[in-house]
Amino acid sequence: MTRISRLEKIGNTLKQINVGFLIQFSVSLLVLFMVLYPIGWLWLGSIRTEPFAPDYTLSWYLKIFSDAVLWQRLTNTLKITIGTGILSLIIGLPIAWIVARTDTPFSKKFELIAVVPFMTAPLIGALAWTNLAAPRTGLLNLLYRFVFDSSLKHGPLNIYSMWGIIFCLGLYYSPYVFLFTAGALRSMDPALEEASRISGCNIIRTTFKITLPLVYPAITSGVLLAMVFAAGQFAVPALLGTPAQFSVMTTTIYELMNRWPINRSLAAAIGNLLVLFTFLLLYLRGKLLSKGAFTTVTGKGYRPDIIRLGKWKYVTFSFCLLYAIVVFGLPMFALIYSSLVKYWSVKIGLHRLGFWNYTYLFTEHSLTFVAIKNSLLLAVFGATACIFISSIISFIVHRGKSRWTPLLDYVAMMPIGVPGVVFAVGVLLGWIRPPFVLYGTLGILIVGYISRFNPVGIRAVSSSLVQVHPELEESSRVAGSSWAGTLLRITLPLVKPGMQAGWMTLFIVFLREFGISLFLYSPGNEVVSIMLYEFWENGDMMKASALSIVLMVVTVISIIIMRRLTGADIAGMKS
Amino acid sequence: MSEIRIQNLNKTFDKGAVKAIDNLSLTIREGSIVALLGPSGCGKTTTLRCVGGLELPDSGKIFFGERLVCCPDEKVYVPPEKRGLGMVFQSYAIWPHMNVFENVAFPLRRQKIDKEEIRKKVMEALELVGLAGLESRYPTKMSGGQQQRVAFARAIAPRPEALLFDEPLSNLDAKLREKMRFDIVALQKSTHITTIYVTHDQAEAMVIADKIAVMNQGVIEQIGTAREIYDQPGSRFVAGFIGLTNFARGRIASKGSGQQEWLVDSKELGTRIVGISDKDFKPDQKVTLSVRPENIMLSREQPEGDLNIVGGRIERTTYIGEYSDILIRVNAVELRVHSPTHLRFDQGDHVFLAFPPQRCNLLAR
Repeated sequence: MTRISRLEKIGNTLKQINVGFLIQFSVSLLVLFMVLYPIGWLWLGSIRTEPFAPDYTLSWYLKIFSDAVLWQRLTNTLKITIGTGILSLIIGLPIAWIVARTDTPFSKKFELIAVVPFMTAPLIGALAWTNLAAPRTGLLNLLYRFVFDSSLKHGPLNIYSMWGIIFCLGLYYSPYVFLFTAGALRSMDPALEEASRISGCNIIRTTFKITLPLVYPAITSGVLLAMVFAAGQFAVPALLGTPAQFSVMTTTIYELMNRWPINRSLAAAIGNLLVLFTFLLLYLRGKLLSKGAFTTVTGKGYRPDIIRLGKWKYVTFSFCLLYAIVVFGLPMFALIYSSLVKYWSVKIGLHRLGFWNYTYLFTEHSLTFVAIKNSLLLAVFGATACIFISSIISFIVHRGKSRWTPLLDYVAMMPIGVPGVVFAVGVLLGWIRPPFVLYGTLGILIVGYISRFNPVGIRAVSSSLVQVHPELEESSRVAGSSWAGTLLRITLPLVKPGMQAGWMTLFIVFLREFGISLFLYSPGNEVVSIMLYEFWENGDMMKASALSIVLMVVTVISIIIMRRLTGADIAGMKS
Repeated sequence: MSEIRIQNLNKTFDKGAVKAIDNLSLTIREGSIVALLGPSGCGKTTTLRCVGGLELPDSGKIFFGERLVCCPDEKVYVPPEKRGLGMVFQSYAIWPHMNVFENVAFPLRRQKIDKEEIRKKVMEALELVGLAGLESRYPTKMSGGQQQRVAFARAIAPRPEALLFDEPLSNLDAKLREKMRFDIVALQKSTHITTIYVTHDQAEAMVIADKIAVMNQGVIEQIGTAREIYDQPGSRFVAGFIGLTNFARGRIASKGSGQQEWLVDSKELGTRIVGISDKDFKPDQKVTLSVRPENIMLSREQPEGDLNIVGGRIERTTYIGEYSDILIRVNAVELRVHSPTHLRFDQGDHVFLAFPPQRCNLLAR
């Protein structure tokens, strides 16, 4: 009896299996594999004497804590992480408050500039600041010495230092603090502040007693995110730290993977420690958000309370203007200038400018077209494949009823907390040897990109999907449409904006990707960022700058084309 | 505790494009409670916010007793924190990062009183609103009704000059809302704080207020007790906004025999009607007759006399429970009548309608 009913059960289950289920099931497995396989190799590699030798040891972890040099690099990472957190707060918080809550002129324009760092890669930012503040040849230093003290040989600014790294990272990750805080300030019920005014507190007291404590979760969440990215950043410490022999965990991993004596197990061990650190930060952030997510009952639509600053608005305007110059004006100027000179010289003159570097790139350097082609190919194909996978995962996570969906959600989102270079080590170890050999092809880059940046796509699609009430789909089913028909005719059209935005974001991320590419590329498979890095390594700042400009132009043109075609915006950047 | 006087208040939005308050004057007597009642966008909340100092009027004066708190022409503007008010917001505006005690104590901390005194006053206020013992709870963990009470306690704890309510009950469910109305009245009567209460709910205004100011398009259309507003609406807007009513157009024929009585010829009703109005009409002036559904008497037989009686045909009857809602075609108009349920009428029946002259309000057109 029991046997028959069990057989019946299996038969019923088989009947329920259909195309939709098969797609969902196989994509889930694929994503689980793409994430867990490289991470598994990271752990396995770190507890072996050699990643591919079956001798197990904990010595690499012990070495990190006993070796003075390695220990110092750990603390260096800690220092730039904390420094970046503090600087992004100092920059992001005032800008958020100014833009969201004051009548400072042109504050809407500054809002656009504040997201510029999202658009330009950290690699390019670091390059621009090398042009500006390298101790001997930086433009700002040249200007200072020309105006004030021509006896100096270098300085006063030195971007090749820990402070230089913190400065760059703080500048480029401050938009996280800005966006989170400005969003919270805007969505806050103004009655909360008005109640405080009525209770006898003036504007300043109200700001400190009510406003700031209420947006505190948003501020901290932005700061912690900036710290997570700073800890895992590779390009900026590589460009700015290397000349000063200042190494952090990410640059150490690169050295161990590529320079003699190569030690991939130690690299994996350091990578795992870094992952533990970033996950700790993300855990703190999650805890904070779940505990401090203040919900406020809101009635009618309201206008946020705009504070009239009077003459103080010139102070806030100057602060914003300074930010715009430092984050956008100066770097752009430095890149353009540098890309137009043939030899870097202390003397500056218009007659020295020309298009030599561009001519070189497009006529003499055969790699340029290969790299641009590779980057575009990876970006278009990668973004398309990735958004397909992201959409299915997002759909399962938000509509699935299985008890495994939270696990799938967790694993699929996990790579966001794994620094690119660390993830790349895992991908390299996993896809270099049988049964999965992808190294030496563009395929390993695609696999690396998709597995690492799938969370970006999921987030974009999910933000659309959560706005589609399940009743919209249910009413379609009741009206006689099948699961697939509902998906095609109701759900997909409604989440299309999210998918388009996700595609755009992934496209831009892939076009300029550096951290993963540097570990996974092989000769013939160079992408633009690799070429840029090679120019820089050979000391050819002018050509690196020219290529940066080319990359930015390609990015902007692509965005314009995509917007023309779809009207899509980049995820999280809708004004 | 003092009288609030608003004089010739004006306020426009969007650089003069939208007139929110139009030359409004209003006096709230010391210790009384006045409701500003009107549809959304009528300027009631803006008026309240001007009194609170949260909005700056374009012109006009606001006095608390003898103290001038706002007068743009004389560059007088007392900021909200210096006005000594208590306010309850529609969204409650309870600070989620403070517990109940801290929320209620917040306005007290700005006064120069010692900690023990603050504690005593907070406890008093919580006692008054029935939340004693919950002072260490966090508001995010409380129900809407409890949050509302925290907001009341916070508003009354410092014994403010005046209390301002901005649709405080509109986020509560119907049962709770009804109970809270009476609680607010009791609270206000026990504290004797001058109160302005903004609402769009006429029943709420009638329960709570000593006087109701009906607002429309930035203007006070009528001010009076609940009974005055309902029984003798001063304008077509007031008659239509407060409760249900029937309108019929007509022209003044002559002065009636009784006090405030007028004879009106209504082509729409096809008869002459006697109605009342305290206004002075001229012969042939256009007027609108307003008569409420429950004030029309229905009968099958023609009643005695021939004044204020018309015949009609029943279009639809609906049994509501407390009464029957009957739609009747009379000449060129349809009238709604609320009739006792023991009288049975059916669709198609011919009936007679009697309008008691004292219940027929004549409104200028």
